[in-house]
Parts: sequence; structure tokens; C-alpha cells
Amino acid sequence: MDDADFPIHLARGMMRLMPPPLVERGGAMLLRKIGRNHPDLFRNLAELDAKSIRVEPSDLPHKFLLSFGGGAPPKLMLARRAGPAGTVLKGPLEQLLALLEGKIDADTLFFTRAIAITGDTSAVVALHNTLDRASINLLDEAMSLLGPFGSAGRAAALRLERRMHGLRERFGPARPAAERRDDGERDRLLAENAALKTRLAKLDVRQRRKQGASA
Amino acid sequence: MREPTYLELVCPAGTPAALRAAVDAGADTVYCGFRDCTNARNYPGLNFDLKEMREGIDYAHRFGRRVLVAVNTFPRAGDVVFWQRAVDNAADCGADAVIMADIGVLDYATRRHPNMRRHLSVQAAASNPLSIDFYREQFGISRVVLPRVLSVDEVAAVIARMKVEAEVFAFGSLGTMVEGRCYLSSYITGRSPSSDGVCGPAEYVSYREEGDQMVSCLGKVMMNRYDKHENAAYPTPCKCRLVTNGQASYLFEEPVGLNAVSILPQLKAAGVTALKIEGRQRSRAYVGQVVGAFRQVLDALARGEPQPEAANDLYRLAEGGKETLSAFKKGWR
Repeated sequence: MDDADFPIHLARGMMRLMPPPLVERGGAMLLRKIGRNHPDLFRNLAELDAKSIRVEPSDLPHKFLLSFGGGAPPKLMLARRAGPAGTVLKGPLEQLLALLEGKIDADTLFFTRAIAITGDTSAVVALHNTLDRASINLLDEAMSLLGPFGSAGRAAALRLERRMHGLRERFGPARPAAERRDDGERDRLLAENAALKTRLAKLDVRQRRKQGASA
Repeated sequence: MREPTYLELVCPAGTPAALRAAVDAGADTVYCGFRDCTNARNYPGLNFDLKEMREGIDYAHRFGRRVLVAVNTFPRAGDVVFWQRAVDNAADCGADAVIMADIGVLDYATRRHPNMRRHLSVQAAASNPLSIDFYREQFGISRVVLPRVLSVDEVAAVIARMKVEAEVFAFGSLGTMVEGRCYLSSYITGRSPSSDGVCGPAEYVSYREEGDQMVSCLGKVMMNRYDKHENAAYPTPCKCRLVTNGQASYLFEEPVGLNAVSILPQLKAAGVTALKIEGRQRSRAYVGQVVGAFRQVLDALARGEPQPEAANDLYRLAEGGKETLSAFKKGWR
């Protein structure tokens, strides 16, 4: 793990434990901070057509609504408080944050189905292209919220992240229900494959016997 | 300007950040376009305004790299001002060349900016020496981007009989085999890559989940249906899955990406000057990864070393997660 990398395990763990209003408040503060540090990004976002995207991190209990464009600064709120969005973006938190930082190619994630987009795609395309112009380092942005305690906060966050990463490596990740379902499906297909092979082998033997009998 | 090693590496940039990523990763040349319908990647949030173009060209020139500006769509009837202005702006910003397809735009650039290098876009679909000679004689083009319809032998045969540099596509998404003449998407959306710079305009693209499957649509027309673990692709009409005789298949084009990294020595031997990486619509992460991998391979080939494994994983970035040599190794005619 690089010292500039966002501590994803720590962030995910904290967001799972935090009450929704606190998550919402934290997200809004971070967004405001990004706006202050990247005025060009906010100006470019404001120039887009007004859109909203429901962002659903698959490994968090929270869902967010991100609104941008139409001349207004972007807004982030918990989706439960907002109306329906024309677009839904789903994926693991780590991939979604990597997209925000421009560290990973969105099309590749989409081709491989690591992220899923439903509804009006133009909102996601416009947002992604605009974000990709900016160089956001989420860790820097988050730590700048701590003001003079930023350096100490960064050191503590990275230490905790390494610890959590180590524990995860040692004891294995808590696997999401969807992955466990995939395992079940794989086992079922393997069993079916084995049964078909057996059946084919039996048919083959029967065929040979018939040929032997008729020869 | 820095002299290219082995073959000139021409890389895409949809944003200033991607331009910097391309230069930093080792591109010899970067191509980009203005934020309007004058280039073939006119998507929301993409491309350069005047200030960004000027700054991008300055950045590239500081490192001895070139910047080409694509003005390669076809003007609409009675609406040529965008294209004229784009050519003027490219010249004003200090672009090293303008890539064009339309004969009217080429003529305008030739008369107004005779000292600016002119490249013939792949959109012009010039694939034989007669056609390329016409563009050279009439508009003084210095380079042609060859359409992705030629085998390596055909590329060599064309280059042997023409007097301009040849640039060929080496990596990225593939289009239909009649480049610059595709209006398929306009039947569905009213917009096409040839005149509007968009194939599947994002505002017409939608996806929905149906059980374990994902369905992609362009406008109200279903383009594809993907099983749970199947790689997805752009919902463009040429790469849609069609059902004929009860069998679903890719009749026109399969969603696979071109990767010519394994035949670079053959392309050099054929007389190719420059390799083009497709993907101005892709992110700066894609640009950095692809350009970096090709840079390593080209430098190794220039030193006479075996090809490094840097480009082996690039298929992961390809549309549909699969790659092909396409027409370079075509077995059809």
C-alpha cells in the first residue's frame, strides 16, 4: 500500500459503523473541501446538464444521491432522503473511489461488469469525463479537513489501514452474500458437469457395446 | 522535437489530464480535439477548450512531443463555421498538424494555413495509392491514417506506391469496415460519428438488469443481452447481437479490441511510420497503461531485445475483454 492511497479498509469499516446522518454529513464536508481545492472541477461540473446519480456501494449499507450540473455546485446526500434518480451506479466502494481519483479505467470496469450502470448513461459519462480532468487525492482531501492535525491523522489512518489490511490477509475477508451465492452456483454447475460427463461416458460404453454386438 | 524510437507512438487524449498522462507515459505524439462536433469523439465532459488546448500543446512541446488536432468529422450542409473555426484555432494554438477527412475542410486548411502540416484522417477511408495521391496532390497531406481494412501485406503494398507517411491503428476499439461512411447510429438516434462525432450518443444509451442478465439499448432499440459473467461492450449498432434463424450472434462486428503489439516488426518492415492508439473517450488511467506498455515494447524492439511482457495484459482493457489482429491478419476478402 502506498502512502498516497486512500485507506479503503478503514473507510469502509468506519462507514459501516457510522450512523447514516454522520455519513451524510462527512460526505458533504468532503465534497465541499474538494470544491474549495478544485474550483475548476466544480466549474466544469456546474456547466453540465442537471443530472442525479444514485450511487450504491455494494459493500456498504448506505446509498447516496449525487446531483450535479445545471449551474449549481454538486450535492451529495443519502439516497433514502431523496427522490428517484435517472441513473444508478453500483459497485464495490474501492472501485467507485478509484474512479473518483482517476486511478482506474471506467470502461474496463464496465466491460468486466465490476461496476454496473442502469438508466441514463449520459449522466455517468459526463461525470466520469469531468472527474477524469481533475487530479483528486481523496486521502489528501480528507486529511485537510483535520486542519493542523492532518499530518497526525494521516499517519494514524495509514497505520490503522495497514493493520486492518494485515488482519484481512491473515483471516480472510468477510465475503459478501452475492459472492457466496456465486460459490453455490459454481458448485451446482460443477456437479451438473460431472453428472453429464458420467452420463456421456455411460452412453459411450453402451454405444461401443452395441457396435461390438452388431459386428 | 524528440525523435521517435522504432515507430512513432501516437496516443489519444480526451482531456488535458489524459494528455499529460500520455506524455508522461512516453507518447511521441498526442492527438486530441476541441469540445464540439468537429472531432469524432464528441461526448459530454470530453475534449479541450481553447485555453486547455493551448496549455496542452505547451506541455507536450516542453517535453519535445507533438500534438495533432483532430478536425475529422464532416461538416453539415450550411453549417461549416464550426469546422473552419476549429482549423483556425488549431493553427493559433500551435498544433503540429491537423487531422482532417472532409475535402472542403482540407481545402480550407490548405489555403488558410499552408504551412501547417495536414494529416488525412482514417475517416476519409483512403485505402489505395490513387486515393492517397489525390489528397497529397490537392491538399499537400504529409500523412495518411490507413483504414482498418488492410492486411499487413496490403499495408506494405499501399505504402510502396505512395509518397506520404503512413499511420496505422495498433490498439483500441474497432469500427465498422467502411470508416467515415457509417450512418448506422443515425437511423436510431439522428446522430452519427461522421457528422456529429458520436456513434452511440450517451444520452441514448441505457442499461437495465433483467434477472441475472444485463440488457443494453440505444434509444428504444435493444443492442445486446449479456449473461451474468459475460463481458459487456459499447451498445453500438455495428456491434449489436442479432438473432437470425433463431441464433443470436454478432453479424457485423464482434466487440473485441485491436492489439497489434505482436506484429510491430512486420508493420515496421511494411514501411509504417506511426502507430495509433485509439481511445480518446477512455480515461487517463487507460491512456497511461496502454501508452506505457507500448513504450516499453517499442524501446525494447529498438534495442534489439526480445519483446517484454508489458503488453500481455492489455486485453483486460479491450472492449469485450478480448483482442484481435483484425484485418492485419484477415482470412477473408
